[in-house]
Amino acid sequence: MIINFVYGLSFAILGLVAYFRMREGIELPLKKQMPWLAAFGIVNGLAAWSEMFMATDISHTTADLLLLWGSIARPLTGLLLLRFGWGVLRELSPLPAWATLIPGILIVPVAFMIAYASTTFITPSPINIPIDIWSRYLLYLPGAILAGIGFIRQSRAQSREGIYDVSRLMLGAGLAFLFEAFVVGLIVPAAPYGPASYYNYDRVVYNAFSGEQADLYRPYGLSAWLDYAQVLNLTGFPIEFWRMLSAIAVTFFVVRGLDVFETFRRHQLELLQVERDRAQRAAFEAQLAARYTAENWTNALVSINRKIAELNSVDSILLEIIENARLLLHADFIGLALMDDDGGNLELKYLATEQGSQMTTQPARVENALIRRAIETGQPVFSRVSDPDSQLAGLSFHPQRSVGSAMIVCLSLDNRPIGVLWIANYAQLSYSETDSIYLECMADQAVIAIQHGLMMSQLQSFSIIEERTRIAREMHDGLAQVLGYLNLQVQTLDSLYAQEKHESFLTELDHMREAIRVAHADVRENILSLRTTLASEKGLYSAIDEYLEEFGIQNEIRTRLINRIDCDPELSSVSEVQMVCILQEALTNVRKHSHARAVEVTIERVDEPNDSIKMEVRDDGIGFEEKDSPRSFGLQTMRERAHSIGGELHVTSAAGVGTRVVGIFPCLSSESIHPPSIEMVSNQSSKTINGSSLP
Amino acid sequence: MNVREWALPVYTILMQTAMGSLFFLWLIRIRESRRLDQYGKNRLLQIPLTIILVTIFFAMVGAHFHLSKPFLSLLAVSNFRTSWLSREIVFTILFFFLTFAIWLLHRLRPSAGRLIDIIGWGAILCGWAMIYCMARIYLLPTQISWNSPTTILHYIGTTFLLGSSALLAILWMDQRFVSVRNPQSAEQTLTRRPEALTLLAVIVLAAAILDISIELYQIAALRVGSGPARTSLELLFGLYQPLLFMRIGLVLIGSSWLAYNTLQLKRLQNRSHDQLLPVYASFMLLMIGEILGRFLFYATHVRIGL
Repeated sequence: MIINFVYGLSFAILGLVAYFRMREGIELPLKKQMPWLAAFGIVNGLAAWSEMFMATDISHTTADLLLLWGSIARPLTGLLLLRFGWGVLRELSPLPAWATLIPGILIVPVAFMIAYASTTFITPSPINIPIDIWSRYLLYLPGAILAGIGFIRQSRAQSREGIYDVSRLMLGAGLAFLFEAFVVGLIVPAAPYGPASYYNYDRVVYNAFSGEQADLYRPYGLSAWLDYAQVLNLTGFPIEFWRMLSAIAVTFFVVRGLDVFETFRRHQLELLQVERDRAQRAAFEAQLAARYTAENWTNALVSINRKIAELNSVDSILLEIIENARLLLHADFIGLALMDDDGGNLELKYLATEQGSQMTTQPARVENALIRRAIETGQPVFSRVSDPDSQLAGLSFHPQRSVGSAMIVCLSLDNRPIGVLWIANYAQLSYSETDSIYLECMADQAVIAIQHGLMMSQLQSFSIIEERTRIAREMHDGLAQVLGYLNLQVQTLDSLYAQEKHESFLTELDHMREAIRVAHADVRENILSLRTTLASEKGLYSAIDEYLEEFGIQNEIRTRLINRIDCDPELSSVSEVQMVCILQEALTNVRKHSHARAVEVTIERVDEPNDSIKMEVRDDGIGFEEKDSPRSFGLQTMRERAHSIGGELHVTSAAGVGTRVVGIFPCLSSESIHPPSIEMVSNQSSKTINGSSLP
Repeated sequence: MNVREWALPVYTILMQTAMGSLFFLWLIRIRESRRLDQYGKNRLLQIPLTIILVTIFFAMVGAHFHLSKPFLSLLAVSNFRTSWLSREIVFTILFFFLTFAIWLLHRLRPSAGRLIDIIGWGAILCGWAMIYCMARIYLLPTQISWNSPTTILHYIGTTFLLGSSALLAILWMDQRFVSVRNPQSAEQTLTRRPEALTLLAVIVLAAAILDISIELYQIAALRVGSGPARTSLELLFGLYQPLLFMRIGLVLIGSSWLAYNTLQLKRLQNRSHDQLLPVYASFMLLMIGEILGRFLFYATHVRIGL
C-alpha cells in the first residue's frame, strides 16, 4: 500500500510540476510536450492510488468504480506516455531520413500484436486484466522506450551545447524511462494466455497423446527472467518496489532536469542581455566613430576647399591633402606623383609619412605595376595578399621597409591622367570600398587644386597684361599728350624767342609750367594708385587711410577719414577692390575739377537696403550741375563698378556747395541672402577682375 | 491456440505478404521500365526489395518458433517427394535465396537489369510454388474445414491482397523517405506517376472482395457439411463471432480506405505526404483483418479422430 502510494505520489508530483512549468510559459526544450507529460503524470498517479484503495476494505460499489477507473486509466496512461515519448523523440531535431521508415516497418508487428490482443478478449478472464496487460505491452512499453530514447537524445543535444548539468539529468531521465519500460511495460500481471503466460507462468508443455504435462517450457532461457517470482527471488523485492524506484527516478531526473534547465536558461538570458547591451554599446560606439570619421573628413575637405578659395599656393594645398589623407586612412605612407612635362613618366612630387608631409626637392621617378594599371584603367587599384612583393616595390620610398598593402587612384584632368595618389601600409591590410571612395575624394580635391592653380596663374598673366595695357593707355592719354603738348610749346617758345616777343613768350611759358604741374600731379596720382593695394595685411581701412593721407600731401588738400566701423568690414575681396577704385576715381575728380580745399571720407554700416557698407566722399569744392556733365565717363565708370558688386552709387552736387559721392557696398551676409545677386556679382566681378588692376 | 501456434500465422502471413509484394513489384517494374529514368528504376527496387527480404527473413525465423527442435529444421527437406511441408520449406529457402540474389545484384550491379529480371521471375515462380505448397498442407481429410480447394484459392487471394496493399504502403513509405533525404529527387519516385498505384489500388479492392467472397463461400460450405464442419461453424459464430465480424469489417474498411487514399493522389499532387498516416492506418487495419482471418482459420478447424 505504501509502495503504491509513493509510486502514485511520484507521478502526481511529476504531473503537477510539468503542469506548473507549462503554466509559467518557460522556454523549455520540451515545452510542447509538457501538457502530455503533465497529463501522463497525473493520470498515472491517480491510477496508482486507485489500486492502493482497492487493497483496502472498501464497498463493492466503490471497488467497481475504482476498477472501472483503472480500466480506463491504464490505456489512457499508456496512450499519453506514447504521445509524450513520440513528441520527445522527434521534437529536438529532425530525425534522420531512415527514421521515416520506422512507422511503416512497425505496421506489421503492431498489427500482429493488436490482432493477438483482440483474440485474448474472447477468453473468459476478467476484462480488466487483458486491458492492463495490453495497455502495458502496446502503449506503455513503446511509450517509455520512446521517451527514454528521446531524453537520451536531449541529453546529447544539451551536451553539445555545453549544458552538462542538464545533459546528465536528461541522461538519467532517459535511463529511468528505459528502466520504467522494463519494469512496468514488459513485466505484466499473470494471465492464462501469452505473452503474459509465455513469460510468467504458463510454461508447461502438455503431451497431447499422454495428457501429461512435461517439463517447464523455457524458450531460449529468456522467459524466466521476466517473472514476478523470479524478480522477487533474484532481488528480494517485489516488482512493485522496483516500479516505485523507477517512478521516483523518472520524477527526480525529469523535475530536476527542468529546474536546472530553467536556471541555466535564466543565466543564459542574463548573458544574452549582457551581450545585447555590449552589442548596443558597440553599435553606438561604431556610429560615433563613423560620425567622427565623417566629421573629420568633412573638416578636412572644408579646410582644403577654403585654402583653394583663399588662393593659397597649390603646393601647400596638395601637402595638406596628402597629410589629411594619410591621417584619415591610417596609412604609413602616401604619395602624390605627377606626369612630367613629356607626359610619359611619373615623378613623386609630394609625400607624407609619420614624420610629416613634404614636397620632394629632387622629384623621384615612380615605377610600379599597380600604379601603371591604375593609370591605364582609370579605376582604383588594390593590392591583394596573393600579389608578389615585386608588385608592391617602389611604393613607399623607404629604404628598409617594404609595403604590405597599397591602394592607388588615378588623377585625371579632362579625362587625361595627370598623376596618381596612393596610400601604402607596411602591414598586409585589406582596404574597404569606403577607403577607396575617400581616397578618390582626396584625389578629386588634388585635381581641383591643381586646376585652380593653373587657372589662377592664367588669370594673373591676364591681369598683368591688362594692367600694362591700362598703364600704357594712361601714359598715352596723359603723360604722352602732355609731353607732345610741351614739345609743341617748346617749338612755340623757340619761335617767340626768335621773334623776341617777350610777353607772349612768358605767357606760353606759364602755360607750359601749368601743363607740367598737371602732368606731374597725374603721374604722382597714378603712382599712388599703383602703390595702393589691398594685398597687405593691414586691411581695407588702413589702405584707405594711407591713400588719403598721401593724396592730401601730394595735392595740398586736407583729408579726413571718419571710420565708424570698428570691426571687419565683411566685404568680399572684389567689393573691397571696387570700393578702393571708386574712392580713387572720386578723389581724382576732386583734384582735377573741384578746386576743393578739404575732402572728407566717411565709412559706416547701414541696414538699408540690406546690411551694407556706406562710403561717402564729400568735398568743399565748387561743385557742378549734373546736367552739365551727363556723359561724364568717370562717374559712369564708378556707377558700373558699384553695380557690378550689387551696390549703388549716388552723386549729389550743386554749384558752390561741393560734391557728395555715396557708395553702398553689400556685406557678405547680405549677399548670401540674395543668391541671384551673388551670381550676378560673381559673374560681373570676374569681368571686373579681368579688366582691373588686381593687387 | 497458444503462443507457439501463433508462429504459423506469423510465417504464412509474412511469406504471403513478401511473395505478393515481389510479384506486384515485378509487374510494375515491367510496366514502368520505359517511363522511369535510371534513378526511378533504382528507387523502385531499393527500399521495397530490402523490406521484402527482411520480411522473408522474419517469417522464416518466426516459423522456427513452431518447431520443437528448431535447429533441426533443415532435415524436413528430406521428405521432398512425399511431403508438402518439405516442398514448402524447399521453395521457401529457394525464394529467400533468389530474392537475396536480386537484392545483392541490385546493390552491386544495378545496371544488370536483364539478369535481375530473370532471377526475379525465378524467385516469383518459387514463391508461387511455396504458396501452393503452403495451402496444400492443409488439404487433409482429417481437417474438414480446411479440406477444400477453396483453401488454395483463399491463400492465393490473400497473397494478392496482402502483396498489393503492402507494396502500396512500401511505395508511399519510400516516397516519404526520399522527400526527407533528397527532396530534389522526390519527383522521380513512382508515387509521382499515379497510374501504377491506381492499378494497385484496384487490385487491392478486387482481392479484398475475392478474399471475403471465399470466406463467405467457406462458411456456406460449412453449413452443409458434416458434424465437424458444423462444429467449426458453431465456433465461428459462437466464441469467435466478434473476431469474425471484426475480420470482415477490417478487411473491407482497410482495403477501401487504402484504395481511396491512393486514388486521392492525383488530387493532392505535391501534398502526397499528407496521405501517409491514412495509408499506414488503412494498411494496418487490413493487416489486422487478415491476421484475425488466419487466426480463425487455425482456431476453428476440428479434427476428425485422433
